[in-house]
Amino acid sequence: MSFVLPPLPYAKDALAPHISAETVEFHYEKHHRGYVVKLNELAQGTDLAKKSLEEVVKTEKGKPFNLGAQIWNHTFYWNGMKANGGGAPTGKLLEAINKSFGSFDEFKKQFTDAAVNHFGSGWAWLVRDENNHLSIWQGHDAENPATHGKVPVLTCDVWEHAYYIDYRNNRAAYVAAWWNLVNWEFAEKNLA
Amino acid sequence: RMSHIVYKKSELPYAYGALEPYVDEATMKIHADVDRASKLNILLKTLASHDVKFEEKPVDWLLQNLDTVPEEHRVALRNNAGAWYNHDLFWKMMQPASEGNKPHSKVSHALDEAFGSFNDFKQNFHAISTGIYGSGWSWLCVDPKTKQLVIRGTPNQDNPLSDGYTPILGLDVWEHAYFLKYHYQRGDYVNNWFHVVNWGFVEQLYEQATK
Repeated sequence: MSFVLPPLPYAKDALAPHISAETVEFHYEKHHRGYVVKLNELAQGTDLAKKSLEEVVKTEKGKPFNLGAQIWNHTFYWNGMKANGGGAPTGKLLEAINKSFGSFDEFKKQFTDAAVNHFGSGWAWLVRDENNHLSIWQGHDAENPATHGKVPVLTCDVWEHAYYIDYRNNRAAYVAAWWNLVNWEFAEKNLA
Repeated sequence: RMSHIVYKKSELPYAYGALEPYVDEATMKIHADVDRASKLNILLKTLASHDVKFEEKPVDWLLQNLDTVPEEHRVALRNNAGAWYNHDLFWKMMQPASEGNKPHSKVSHALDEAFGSFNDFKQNFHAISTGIYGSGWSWLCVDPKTKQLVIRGTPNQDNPLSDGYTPILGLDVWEHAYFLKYHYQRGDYVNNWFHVVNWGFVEQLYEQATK
């Protein structure tokens, strides 16, 4: 068995102008595909090759974990965005947000804060527990909330490669633009 | 008699495009112009009421004595003092490329002793630089115990001073340091960066560290 790069859920220019086709091309073809190629190389002829991606994320450490988690994280990231996304959630997700944060605006403020101010490479996550209580979680580098007992609902990549082509060092502008792409339907599917 | 230190933006000793083609002008314009002083100054003001006069201590002292900083501000000081100092050193550790740019006598000898040859040193430095996961720096340092040269990587904006090592050369391997020109090819960036190392400044730092 080998690890596979899932297809992008949309064309490379679908997220423009918020995230350019050039960024998606690099981010998906070089970084995301690169992690898959490297994990397959590392796994060749070892027990690692017998594991599923989820098992790699759950059980491995160091290089195999970093590669596996980044494959998983990026797939989750692409799925959490769509063309003409954004706006605000409704229904079950909005209910959970209001219950956990008080309001959508407060959630948005806290998530933005986590994403913009995370120091160094990493990801900002909206996570839940088994009762759909939501919270914000910051992962450094390749860290994934599932390995810390939390269920991921939505994520924003704040490694510099995610925004440098379009926004240079202005991460705040990138995060502001990312809100226009959020796929709330996908996020709601991640609730219990 | 110390006085309150107010950190300013470090001056670039050369034009933004002076390190071309190895480090590109577009990168330098953004990289050198980032404000790393304001957050540090605000943080030091916050710490002003404590017994230790943090706002009067030089930045290298701060990085060597992080354990004296109140815990709730320690990470912020490590990050912000580190960011300011790392970059202040970084601009000085580079210079426009020239033919036959190589280490000066003392450092050259010390590199041969520690690594076997200059090429062996470069290979080691390349391996450590490309091996750092996520954001960080790679450093050539003087080991205080042995006085030998060693290569160490640090995460985020950590500086080797905090681990007791004296840096004499450093390389920023955060993506912002190379992404525009080199994208994900950090290895190419490292190889090219050797062309612009300011070995004269490195020699000075080595002499200070081994006095």
